[in-house]
Amino acid sequence: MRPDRRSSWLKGVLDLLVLAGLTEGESYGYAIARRLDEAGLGTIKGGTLYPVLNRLEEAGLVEAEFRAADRGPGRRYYRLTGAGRAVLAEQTAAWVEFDAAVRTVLVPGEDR
Amino acid sequence: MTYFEELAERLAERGVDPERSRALLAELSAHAADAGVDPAEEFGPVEAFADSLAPRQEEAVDDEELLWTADAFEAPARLNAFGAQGWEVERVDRLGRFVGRRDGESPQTWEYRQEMCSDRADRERLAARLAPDGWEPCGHWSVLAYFKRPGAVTAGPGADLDDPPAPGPRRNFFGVPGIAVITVSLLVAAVALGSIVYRAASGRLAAEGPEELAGMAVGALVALGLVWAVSRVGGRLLRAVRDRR
Repeated sequence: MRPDRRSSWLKGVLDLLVLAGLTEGESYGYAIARRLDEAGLGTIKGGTLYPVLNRLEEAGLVEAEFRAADRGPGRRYYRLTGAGRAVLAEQTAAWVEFDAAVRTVLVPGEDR
Repeated sequence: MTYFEELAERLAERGVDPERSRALLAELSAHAADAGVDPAEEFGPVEAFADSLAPRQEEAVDDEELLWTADAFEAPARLNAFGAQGWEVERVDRLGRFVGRRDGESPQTWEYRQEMCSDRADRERLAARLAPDGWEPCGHWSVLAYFKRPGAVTAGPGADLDDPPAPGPRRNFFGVPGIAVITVSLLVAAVALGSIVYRAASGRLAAEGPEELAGMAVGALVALGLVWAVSRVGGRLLRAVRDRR
């Protein structure tokens, strides 16, 4: 049986993807999940997304504000903090470097 | 009870601030409504989801403490028996009792050795000699010095104890040789003291004058000198034998 590698890869990088999803402005959980889905990363269930948001908030990388809605339930809006931007920049560079190393091995003749 | 009511209970059990819990539940409820799915399908089983949102704080297991004593003949075997149950001697108190501690979370075995050292310099020399084998001093009393080392030095991961036994009720370990030595010492001291008290009370000490007192003083000094000389020579002999091992 072939293991579901995409799920493992996603698990390792989901926090970065969530941070990256907030670079253009604040957003809420469902919208973040939709954006990741549209980017081709598959459906991120709430059971996976919210613990990540929770950890990022506790680490001070994002901050959240609850706003009541005119109709229906209110939402918590997340935005990047300064520390979040710094960690995202640093970890993005590390990921790109890792990705390049993996490509060097998996696709030896590829022009980069 | 709905999924979110149950989740609210679980979060409260984990000590999540009520205001934060309310905001989180409203957010999750909005998410489920937006996605148009059943909350259990979107967020998974309540218990596991609550754990991932707010892990239970594991209660720290306190270390156990144990105070016990043994004579010099019994101590080596008892130290190693307690050591095999995960008890680490932290120090030896002024009364010569062993102050032990056992790690509440990850106990491991300990090994011990009892040595005779004439003074502090001798203890330090011996400690330096034993250190490469993982031994470290854990207390001394009179001429007895104690050293310990973690069982992992010789047993590796095998030194970890999954389920260490509760200590038995006994805290004093005196064997026949120890009791005999202590009894004889106490008898000699009692006879000497009794003799002085008796002679003083009966007036003989005063009647025999300063010569008697001078004789007692000289006798005491000779005895002290003898003990000192024996301990010095004995200490050197012991050290020579020990260093040859």
